[in-house]
Amino acid sequence: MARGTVAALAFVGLGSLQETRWPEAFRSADSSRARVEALYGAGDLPGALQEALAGLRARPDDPVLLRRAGQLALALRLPDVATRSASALRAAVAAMPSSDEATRAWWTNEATALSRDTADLEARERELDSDVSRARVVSLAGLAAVLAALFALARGR
Amino acid sequence: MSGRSSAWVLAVAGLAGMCSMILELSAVRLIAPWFGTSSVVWTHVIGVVLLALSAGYLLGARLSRSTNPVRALGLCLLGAAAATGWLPGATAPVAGWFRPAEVALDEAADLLRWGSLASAFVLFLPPTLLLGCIAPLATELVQRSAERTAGDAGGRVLAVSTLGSIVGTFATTYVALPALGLSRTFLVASGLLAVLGVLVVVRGRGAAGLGAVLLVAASVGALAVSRVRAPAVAAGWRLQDAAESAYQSVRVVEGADAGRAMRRLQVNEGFDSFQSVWQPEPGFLPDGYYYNVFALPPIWAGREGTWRLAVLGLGAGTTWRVLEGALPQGMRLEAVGAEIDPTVVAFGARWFDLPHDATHRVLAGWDARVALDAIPQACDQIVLDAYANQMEIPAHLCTREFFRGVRGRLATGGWFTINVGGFGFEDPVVRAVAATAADAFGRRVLALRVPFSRNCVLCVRRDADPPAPESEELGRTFSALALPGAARWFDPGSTPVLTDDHNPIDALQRRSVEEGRKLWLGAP
Repeated sequence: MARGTVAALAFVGLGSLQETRWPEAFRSADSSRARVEALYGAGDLPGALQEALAGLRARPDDPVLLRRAGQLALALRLPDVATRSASALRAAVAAMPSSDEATRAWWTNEATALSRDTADLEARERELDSDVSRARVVSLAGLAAVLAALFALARGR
Repeated sequence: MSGRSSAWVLAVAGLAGMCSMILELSAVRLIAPWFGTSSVVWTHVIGVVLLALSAGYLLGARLSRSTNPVRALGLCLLGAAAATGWLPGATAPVAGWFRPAEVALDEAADLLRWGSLASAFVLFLPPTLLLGCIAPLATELVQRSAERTAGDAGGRVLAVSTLGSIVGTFATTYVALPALGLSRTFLVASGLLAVLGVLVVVRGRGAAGLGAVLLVAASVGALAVSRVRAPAVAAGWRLQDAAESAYQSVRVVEGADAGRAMRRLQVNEGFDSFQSVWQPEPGFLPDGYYYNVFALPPIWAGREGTWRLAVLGLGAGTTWRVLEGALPQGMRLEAVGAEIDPTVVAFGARWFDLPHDATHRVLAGWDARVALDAIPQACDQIVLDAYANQMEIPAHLCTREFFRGVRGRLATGGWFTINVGGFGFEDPVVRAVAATAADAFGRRVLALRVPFSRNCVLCVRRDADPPAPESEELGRTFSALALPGAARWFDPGSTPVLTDDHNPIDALQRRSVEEGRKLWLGAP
């Protein structure tokens, strides 16, 4: 790892999809959060999402990774991933110990906000699908109408 | 009618042919703000127009058997006038029905395909169908009036109609759109058809009829209120200037980004993209602007003296301006830039501080490939930043032959840097352009992912290699570029290599937009 890279990691966090290319301190599973934040801070949103999803494979209930994965999926407009993350975050928050009410309330708010934004994204995706369907129907109807007219006009005397 | 009197019919056929081409050529411009002007959109518009003309020919043939084909001709002209006149005003609601506002580029693949086709059917089918009726009706009238054979009459009508189309083609591109703009171009065509229609109906000596009156009223109504409405400027931004150039709709918007005052030059404004940006001070732009990465080669060079730069696809001069402010101390810029659209250059001078002096030479109206022969030998850096139709690298600007020509214009060790929009290094367009550059230069290509954007910048040198991915040098200016995953090599021998003879870049660009978001998840 070049010195410049280490400096960059110190500045923005971290980055990479290949475990062996990370500095030693960031190779453990526990450093998933830091790697995600590094890539997020460096502007590599797809890389950060991939890193978050990789981290969640090892720790599927990690609320920090779930929240960030959901936010990244929203930014990249990936509704399936956003929905899964929001749902898993709600479940993770529900399973949190109730000893620290303030922390739990904060996470509940975050999960609610993520769910709301995910619902908005899904609605937008449905709207897009609806627009495409409408355009497809109009196009095919137009084509059929003109072909029918051509046939009728060509046959007529 | 006598043989001599058939001349008016031929004149009508010629003028209708002219209006057909005005409509056809301007049609794509009309829906461009919503769907762009890609080859897909052109294909759909031309396909619908040809289909409509085909049906119109048959309908005209049927009408030509009527007892008063002159009146039928007049009504078709009036109908075409009304349908043409309403196009500018109808486009926004129709296109907006198929494509909601603020759809991002990577969301738009299916909408581009089906939305542009549906819009073309709804908007352009009626006028072109009616214009298609003109030729058979005119043929019938010429044949009857001069007792000619069908072949003779048809040949004459086709000849004048085609001549009219030629006039319409050149007049649209060189005169009407630049001088009148889009709305008035359609309204002039509509007005001309309406006048012809009234004259023909009067000549037909039949009662004017309710239909003719209604069609005239519809045409007049269109002339009064039908105007193009471009998509709204994004919230927080305001429109400063707009024009129709020979190539595209161009506008300048002003607002703020990352707390800085900013101007953007947008072309065919439909998507979330821009062609050039300006901020009050020269130098690096905020995060997310790929122009910043173009400044790395002179910084890496770390020497004093003149940095000879050529920009192919100059736009309003953003690359120049970024480098002017970012060059190391003791280095000065000597720049040449080629921009195909003179209107963009004019806007650059007016709104973007684009200089044109002894050390900044602008080749306005030059295609980048042609301009290659006009830029100086031994450049230190050549930047390729040429996009057409908002999302397509023109095919002739991403081939091995062109890249070899670029190499020939570089000094030894000189840099060729290319802006490529794509979804990461596995994007089919990024891979193909990088592989082609590696092949043409016989050297490794360094691909850099531009932080906070979906752009990559490719760097290749003449007879030298660029810095290695993850090297210290990469992170010296932008620390994020030193991160693992922010850069990669493409070696000579990578595929596919695009050539003048075989260049599927259009298909690759469609695949990129359609599959891009899957690539973001790491699933090729």
